[in-house]
Amino acid sequence: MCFRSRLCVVAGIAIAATTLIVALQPSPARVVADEPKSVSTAPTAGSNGVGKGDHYMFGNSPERNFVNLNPVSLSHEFPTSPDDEKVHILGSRVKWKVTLGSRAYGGPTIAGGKVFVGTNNDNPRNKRDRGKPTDDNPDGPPLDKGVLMCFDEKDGKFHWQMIHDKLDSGQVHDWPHEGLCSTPIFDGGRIYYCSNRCEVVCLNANKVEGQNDGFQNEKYKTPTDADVIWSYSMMDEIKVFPHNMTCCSPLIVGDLLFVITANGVDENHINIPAPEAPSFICMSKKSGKLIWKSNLPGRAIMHGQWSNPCYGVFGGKAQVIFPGGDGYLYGLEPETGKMIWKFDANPKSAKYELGAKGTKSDFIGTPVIYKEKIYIGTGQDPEHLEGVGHFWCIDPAGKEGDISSELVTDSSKFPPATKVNPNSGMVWHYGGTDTRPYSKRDNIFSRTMSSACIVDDILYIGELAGYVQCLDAKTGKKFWQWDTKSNIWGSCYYVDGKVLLANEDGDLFFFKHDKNPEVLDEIAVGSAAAVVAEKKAKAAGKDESDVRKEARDAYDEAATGVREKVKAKYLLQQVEVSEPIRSTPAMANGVLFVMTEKTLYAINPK
Amino acid sequence: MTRRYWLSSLVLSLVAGLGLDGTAVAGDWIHWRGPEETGHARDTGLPDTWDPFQAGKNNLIWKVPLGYRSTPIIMGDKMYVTAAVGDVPRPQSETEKLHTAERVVCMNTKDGSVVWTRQFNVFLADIVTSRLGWAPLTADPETKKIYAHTSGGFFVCLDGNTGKTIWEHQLTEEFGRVTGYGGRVAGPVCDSGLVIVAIAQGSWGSLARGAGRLVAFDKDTGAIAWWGETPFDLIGTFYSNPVVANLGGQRVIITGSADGGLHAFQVRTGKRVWSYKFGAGVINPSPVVVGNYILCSHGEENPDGGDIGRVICLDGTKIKEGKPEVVWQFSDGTRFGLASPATDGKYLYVPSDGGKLYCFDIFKEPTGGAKKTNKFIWKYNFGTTTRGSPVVADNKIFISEVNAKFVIIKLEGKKAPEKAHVVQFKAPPPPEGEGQVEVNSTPAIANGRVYFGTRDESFCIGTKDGKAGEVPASKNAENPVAAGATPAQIQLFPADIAVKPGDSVEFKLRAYTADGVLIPDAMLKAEWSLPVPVVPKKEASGPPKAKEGTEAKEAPPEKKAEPAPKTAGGPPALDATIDAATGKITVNAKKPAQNGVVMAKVGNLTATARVRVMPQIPYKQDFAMVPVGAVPGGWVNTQGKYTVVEDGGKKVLFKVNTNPRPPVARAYAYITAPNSTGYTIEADIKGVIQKEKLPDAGVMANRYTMYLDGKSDEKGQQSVRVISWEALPRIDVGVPFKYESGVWYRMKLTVEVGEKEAVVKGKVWDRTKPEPEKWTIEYKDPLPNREGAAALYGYVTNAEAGAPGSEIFYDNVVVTPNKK
Repeated sequence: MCFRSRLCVVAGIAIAATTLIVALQPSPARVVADEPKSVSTAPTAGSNGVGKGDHYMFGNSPERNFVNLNPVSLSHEFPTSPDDEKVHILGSRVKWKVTLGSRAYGGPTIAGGKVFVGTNNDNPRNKRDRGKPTDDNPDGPPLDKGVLMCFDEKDGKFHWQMIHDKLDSGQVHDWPHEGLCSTPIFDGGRIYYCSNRCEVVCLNANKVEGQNDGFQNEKYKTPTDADVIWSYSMMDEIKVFPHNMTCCSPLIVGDLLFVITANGVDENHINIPAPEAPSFICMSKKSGKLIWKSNLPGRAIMHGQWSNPCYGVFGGKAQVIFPGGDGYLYGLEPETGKMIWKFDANPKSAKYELGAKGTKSDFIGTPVIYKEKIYIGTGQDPEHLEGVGHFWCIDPAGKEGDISSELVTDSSKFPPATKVNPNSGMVWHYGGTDTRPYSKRDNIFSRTMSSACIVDDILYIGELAGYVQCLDAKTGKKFWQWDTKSNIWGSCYYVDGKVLLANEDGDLFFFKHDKNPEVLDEIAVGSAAAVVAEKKAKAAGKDESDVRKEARDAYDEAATGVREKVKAKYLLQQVEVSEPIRSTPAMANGVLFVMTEKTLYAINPK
Repeated sequence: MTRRYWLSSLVLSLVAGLGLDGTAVAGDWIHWRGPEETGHARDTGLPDTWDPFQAGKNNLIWKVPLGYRSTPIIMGDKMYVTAAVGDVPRPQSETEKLHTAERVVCMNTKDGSVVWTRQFNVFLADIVTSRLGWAPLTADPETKKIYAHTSGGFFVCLDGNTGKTIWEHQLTEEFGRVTGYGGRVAGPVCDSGLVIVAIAQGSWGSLARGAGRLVAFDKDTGAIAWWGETPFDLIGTFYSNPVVANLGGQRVIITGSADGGLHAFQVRTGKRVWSYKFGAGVINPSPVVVGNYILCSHGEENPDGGDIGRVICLDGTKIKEGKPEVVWQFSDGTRFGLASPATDGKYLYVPSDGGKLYCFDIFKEPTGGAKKTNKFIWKYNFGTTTRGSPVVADNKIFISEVNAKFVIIKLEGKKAPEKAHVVQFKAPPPPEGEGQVEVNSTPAIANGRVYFGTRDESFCIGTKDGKAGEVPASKNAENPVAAGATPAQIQLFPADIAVKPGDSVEFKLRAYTADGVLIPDAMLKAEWSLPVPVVPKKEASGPPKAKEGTEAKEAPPEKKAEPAPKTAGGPPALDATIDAATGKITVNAKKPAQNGVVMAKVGNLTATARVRVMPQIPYKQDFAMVPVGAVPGGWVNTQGKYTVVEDGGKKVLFKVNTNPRPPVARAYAYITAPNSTGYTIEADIKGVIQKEKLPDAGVMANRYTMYLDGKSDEKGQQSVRVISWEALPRIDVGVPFKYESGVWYRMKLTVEVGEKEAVVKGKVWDRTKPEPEKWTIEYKDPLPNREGAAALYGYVTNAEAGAPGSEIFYDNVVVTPNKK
């Protein structure tokens, strides 16, 4: 849906006080090359050179669920800081660490004995990637680049790096110093990712010095530069206009590679310069040739497109799930790109508006598939702040067309009239505005950049606002929440009966996973206590201001009590890494990898 | 005379021509960071707690339903603030969007009642509703004038008592000011008889290169006293608001800027004293000055790489090779880039972008050898997001947290705070309210009361014990003018002026000491001349660069040779007569428009003034007399973004299509004065497909743009559109129109401004065919833009160095007065 005030005036004078809601007219996907169409089997641990204990892609499976069910052990005991015994640090648990750039958002991907991370060039590893020497800096200042680095999994030894120059257009396409934000996928000795230049890139993961397979004319060819197999410029080839950054972490299923192109708005944030350019594409992983393209969200893109596709089989039907920049989730046929269904992740009364008050969002988090259902929360560019969010569980099996929970019956007014969709694929919804009396937060669930982590039918999801929520994956019922008190960009990660999560302030949390969690909802308890106190104060004839104060105090006391219980029961550890963390921890081959904005840590299991 | 800290009952005797730092009771809050410009208030009896529910109870003095994101200023019994019109407590309806604007509001400090309101339309800006009213105001307490820099590019001087305009400039249309989407617009400061504001702009001649610059206006007339340019490459838009201080005997204005630098300029001359580049991105925080130290921060990368963000302390009296000495610095990967620091003169309080307050001991000896590290003493977690800046007062920190909180943190010196009082705001229940209540405001404190705003409301809080404190005198003074001092620098006033053909201008020649103090009664005998203007160091559109990055596997398609040179020439010498004795110039009345400079030479000293002779209506331009590679005289924001080329044996104007940077890729060429109205603009326009894309191209009248849209809609239909403030968009209407590559169209746009509305009418047709009788598009705007420069518009979305984007050609531009 598009609520922009683009009025088509046929003739005469139009008064722009009305809204024309332009019906979405998805253009059908176009198959453009006769390439392998078989989906065959997705690479999983143990195939295509991926080791059983590896963490080979964003979410470590095409379902993108950040759950590690390998029989590994990971202790949550950490040494205390020499300065303050109440503070726990990584300390002696660090096996090795390497310095990255000043921001690291891509990865880590750990596979084939290597670790791959996307970062920037603010700690250059090649003299060439520095500017002219200055008085202050005889080495020359670092040049801004997107960098994919490859390290040895054993000891962190630096093997090679892929350097991508920045686009001349600057922040509108390629945000300064943002580095390389795509998490690479490892497959058969190759890694695949999207570069800051809006390219899909395939590299030789096992490059040894002097090797140059595939593409021969790499721009940079010193011994530590990468070996490019193929690369595909989405700006040149399919006229994509990426907004701010291209960061999709590609999905590979059989021979097919799926990418979200980052097509979006321009500097003034309304105009979509390339509405015909595709948002979702499918390529041959071997040749880098385009197989099909689809511009489904087209003109309905609100901002940019920074989420990732996932893959699953629903009711016997294989589907690729694409989160669109219009806030719809799309189920597409993997071989053809044909739309099977779409699901609106925003209420029909929602509106996209910059800042915390906008109620309509798109997706930053990735859809996760668990037991043939799809789980995703809405979110936005974090610069748009922490507004209202919605979390959905969707069952698309056997469904086609619009499977949103509601349908618009009259769009001539706003909010539009709606009805329940008889074809709805919604299993449950969690979120929206919190209207419970004295609730401190505006929202039951706010915007998220995280993907769900689901194990034993228990779902963990972070919010940008710093909360982690524990829900029942079957019903959406809330068990408990914990406020980490800083923004969360990464996702919860399950391993060895524990749920790990890191935040922007550099805290790494360990929560205890419980198959049957206790309901410890501090807001419900606080609100109930406030209502009781309110009644009591009113009965005592106090004035409204004092009534409210007593109710609020009662809320605080009750909520604090619940918080203490959650802490005692579920919070195992808080480690102060003290460097902003915007990635998801991952455990591979018995070692925990934590990537902060500037350092990659390999951490011993105990 | 300089009165930066107004004493309502006390008249300061000032050393002639010298500015003094504040010396007494601060009953006012004129600079957004208070009387000491440090985010410090000496008021006492301020509240530890409060409750927003009921005025008159629990330390809430008053509240009114008028939200804002900026900082109020307090002058006498009035509070002034800039705010949005239409920023309702929920997403906007289409009608509300159409009526969105910006306002300056004067309120009574006693009860928050509105004394007057002035409304300003927004246009030609990438700013949207929730970020309107960004730049704080300032005032001249002596004359009670208020100064505002609006999102729409107005720089206005208002009568503080009535709100009436005393003078105004249109920074966008006069000087090519740009805004970013973020809303980043800096507020002015008033000092030494000038009001000074920092902007990112590029206009013509020596100022054609896009850069962060300061412009100083005479506070009473608005005449330009000087332009000061930041030396490093423009990175983006920024919102560091300047501070003024005496350092090393000089009175300087210090600001962070668009080039990643912190800069000091002499307040009266605009001469750059020093620069310190410490960010690889723009510097948004405002510095604070403690004695000789300048403290600032940023949240971007550092020029030498390594960790993100930095807090620095520089010594403003130890300058070597144009750079101040670093006293200490701190960098650990934390971003300190969106709010400004505060200091009580001993400790520095710096909020991180992520809602943590860091405290540094300013005078602690640094460690780490050459790195000069100052480790923070403590860090306090008060939220997740900070945009508003802290104010330290009465042993407390008052600070906004964006996510609906206002926080009062109790300070305990070197010990980390343990207690904070947090008020959490909630939107009114639907349908009146929705969404989170953003709190971005930086508080102001005056006479023992704290003033701040949320998205939805204005608040004044305080206790019955609240009172103003004493502001001690600064120890730093300016070096006075010695008797019989010889001038070390000279300046022409005004330094930049726009006139009509045939006008005469008499410039004042002023002499200053090396420290930038005016030498009164300097007897100057000058040689006057009209030289060719200096070409900018770097053109806005740089030389072609090889395409960077990974080469495509297959050879790229052959790129078409560029049709035009990429650099546009500057203007020739001014066509005017000049009186050799007085320097009075009279510009050629027969030359319809031009720009150039006037120079005065006294011994080895020179001073220049810029003169723009504005195209007058009626106006015609067929480019026949403009050299290839140049731009028409008198036009603004054209040099480097447009250029005259030969096309089909005739000279036409061409949009630069090799620079993808947004201010170049999408640019207006402003032709007439910003106060033009009641006119029709016509032009021939031809768009040519390159790389499968047609450009957007059109004309503008009264801030309404009519353009041929290079895109098509979902049915493949093309359109001609009328837009105004497209980032919102306030107006965006279209009618189907077949727009073909390589065809010359004639576009005609007129605006009839009525009392309550403006009627915008546009036509477009194949220029080889007769003009159609009917208007192609008509639109009635209930919030009329009453005036605005006539302009051409061009947007090449696929511009690229080495692979030119779509092409736009313009010819036969005519601006005619509307028939009465």
